[in-house]
Amino acid sequence: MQATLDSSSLKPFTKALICLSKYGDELSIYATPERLSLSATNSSKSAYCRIKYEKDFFTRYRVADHQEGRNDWTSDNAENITLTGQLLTKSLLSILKHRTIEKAVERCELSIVEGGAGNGQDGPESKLIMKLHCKHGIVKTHRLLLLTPTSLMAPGAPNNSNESRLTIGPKALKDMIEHFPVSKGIKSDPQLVWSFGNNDVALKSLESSIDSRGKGQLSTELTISAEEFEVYTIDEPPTTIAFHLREFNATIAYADTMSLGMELRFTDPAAPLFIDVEGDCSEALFVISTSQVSSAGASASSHRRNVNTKKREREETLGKATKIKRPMRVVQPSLAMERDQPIANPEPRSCVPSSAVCQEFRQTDMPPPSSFPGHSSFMEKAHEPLFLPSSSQLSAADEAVLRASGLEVGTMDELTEMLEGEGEEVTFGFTSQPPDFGERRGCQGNAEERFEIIDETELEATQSSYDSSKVWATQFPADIMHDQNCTSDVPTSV
Amino acid sequence: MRFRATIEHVPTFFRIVQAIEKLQRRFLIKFTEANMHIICNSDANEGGIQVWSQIKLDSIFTNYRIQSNANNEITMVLPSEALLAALKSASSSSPTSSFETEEVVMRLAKKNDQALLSFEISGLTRVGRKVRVAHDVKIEVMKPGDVEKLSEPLCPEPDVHILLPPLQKLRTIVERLRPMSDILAVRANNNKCLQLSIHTEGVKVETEWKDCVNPKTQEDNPDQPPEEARNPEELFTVLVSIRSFLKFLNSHVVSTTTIACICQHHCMILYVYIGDVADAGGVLTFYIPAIIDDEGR
Repeated sequence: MQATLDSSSLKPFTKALICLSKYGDELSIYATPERLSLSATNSSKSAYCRIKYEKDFFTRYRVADHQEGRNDWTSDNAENITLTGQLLTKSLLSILKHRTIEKAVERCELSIVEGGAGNGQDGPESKLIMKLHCKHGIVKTHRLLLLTPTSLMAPGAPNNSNESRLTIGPKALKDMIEHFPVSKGIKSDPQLVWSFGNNDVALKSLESSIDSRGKGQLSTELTISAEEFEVYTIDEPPTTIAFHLREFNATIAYADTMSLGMELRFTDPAAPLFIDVEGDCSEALFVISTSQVSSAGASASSHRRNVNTKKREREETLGKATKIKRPMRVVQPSLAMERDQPIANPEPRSCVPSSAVCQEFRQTDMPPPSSFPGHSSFMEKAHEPLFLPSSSQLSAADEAVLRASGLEVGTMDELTEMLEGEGEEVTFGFTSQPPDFGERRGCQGNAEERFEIIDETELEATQSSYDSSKVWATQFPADIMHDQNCTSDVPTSV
Repeated sequence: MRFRATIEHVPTFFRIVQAIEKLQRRFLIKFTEANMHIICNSDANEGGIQVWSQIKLDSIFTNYRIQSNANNEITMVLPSEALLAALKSASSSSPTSSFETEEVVMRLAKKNDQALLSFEISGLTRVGRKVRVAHDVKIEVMKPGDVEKLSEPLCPEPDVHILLPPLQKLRTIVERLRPMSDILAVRANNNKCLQLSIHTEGVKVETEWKDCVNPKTQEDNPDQPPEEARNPEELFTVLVSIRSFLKFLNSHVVSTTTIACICQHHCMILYVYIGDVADAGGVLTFYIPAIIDDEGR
């Protein structure tokens, strides 16, 4: 494969790699004669990112390796040639993110040299060669070892029948998320609960007990008009989904640097969220798993439970009725797909002339360029995997992990309970404010009684230690107190 | 116990909290009918630095209501990081966001037996649609008995008062010194001279400012030449932990004028004015105890 990028397309390419690196360490390359796609999946298989470039994106692009002429079949059926490989995103980025690169590089040539499984002139490994043609005739060549992907995987296609669809610009989304502070630790990956109502969208921070000390101290809620979204089609409002921000933020950052709009699609609280970001010659798909608002939300929901109004209870039962069913439906289509879809069993070479794979993509309309070790799963909805495991079912160890994740749903009753809790916590989260007032007023009255009247001594005294010794401009006259005195009798919560 | 206020000047409040955020993970705010007192008095602080401040309500709040059985005072313990995050979201000044804040209401609340300082922010998005954001900061309300026990450190009459150069500039210098020494000597005299120096086995660095103003205290008799009382050239020294001095210098975000007082070999007191001195909205008073070290004198 050979692909050439000029300086103007190198920048978006680098941005795409940065975004991919936020999703996962391993970058999978999948090249067909028409397009090159790059994908990454995070370690827990709960997020997937794929960016496809049409061949027009490159100044020169061809998959067939005529020059090398090693693989005879390439010339025979050039249309079906595909090429896969896998490497660490970091290693590519460390070359491209160098500060001089952006200014100096005029042209970047990527080529993949296949390892000679049969005719090993270059050793058995495939290599990605990156040639950077810089100013003043400097050419930098990097050779990166290309690993052999062990399996191919694709995200399950969303179920269109009950799909909700949103379109929004990355900046507006960024503005919303900025209100939710992220603690500085690398490990921190906060989760947000999104409730899509008829007219409003509410976002709420979801604290889990493992958070760093600082963050558990703050809970945040944001309410915004649905008009903020350009397209706002919710299948059955109110719908509530929750997902982690790390990958979502990477997606926003990518869309923002590319100045492209984002299209969000989702079905149920248990099914993954799909985000499309489409540019002129590029097409990016992001899949982020959503999670049940359960264990982490339970503590928070106990806050709410005390202040429920009758109105809310009624709404809850409404939501419950629909929600018990829906997750069940979602599982089946994707499980069915798993069965129906021919499992791509890639050959142990980096170059796979698999027309079967191509067909399979057309069939599902979900070209799966990425490849991962066979096991994959996500903790959603019992054991529903976000990505279809291509070569093996869940191992016992995986199940143990799932169980450890705390989201295991054993029986229908448990599921119901879980969903019920979720609906209560999130969907109507913001409506609980008014009753809250009454509650609070009462509580404060009680709290107040616990405190005794004390003499106002301490602070006066402390400041006066300077006061007495030095009376100069730094000290404030005590008389500024007087204007405020009158206000103290007015009740605060009105 | 009732407490509610509209935060009129969010950036000011934000910067004040920013100035002391690095000092303590949790700090105290005492709200009275006239003032807000921010207090950092933990013994574990770097180099024993403390902050006792007094900020006029008018400079930050409007519609301020407070009511409690403890003389209408409420003292609370707040997590600094969380408060800062809430205020950051409330301030529309953030350069990356075009969020515009219309109103920020802060109130004391209670949910599930947990005391909260809740911030309700109503604002406009970049296209002018309404957004409502609510932050709940978990706090602890201090018992009046415990509040009584708070006491400000005592110190003798300062030997010298001097106006510091802009803290930002001091900071660049002190940051350079920090890798070389743990102890910083601060010297000043009554004749406009300020010195910062370090002195270790390997290195001696001295930075001197001339033309710093020695503010007049009200006790001074303007007719009387200061020489009569003391030699104006005499330098008064205090050795402080360089890290705690840097913590103080974090207040450069909020400072306009800073006056340093040196009580020789005892402590250093720094008054950081918020807003103009003449009409200061408040003052953050930093207290840094001296390190007693015979060699350095």
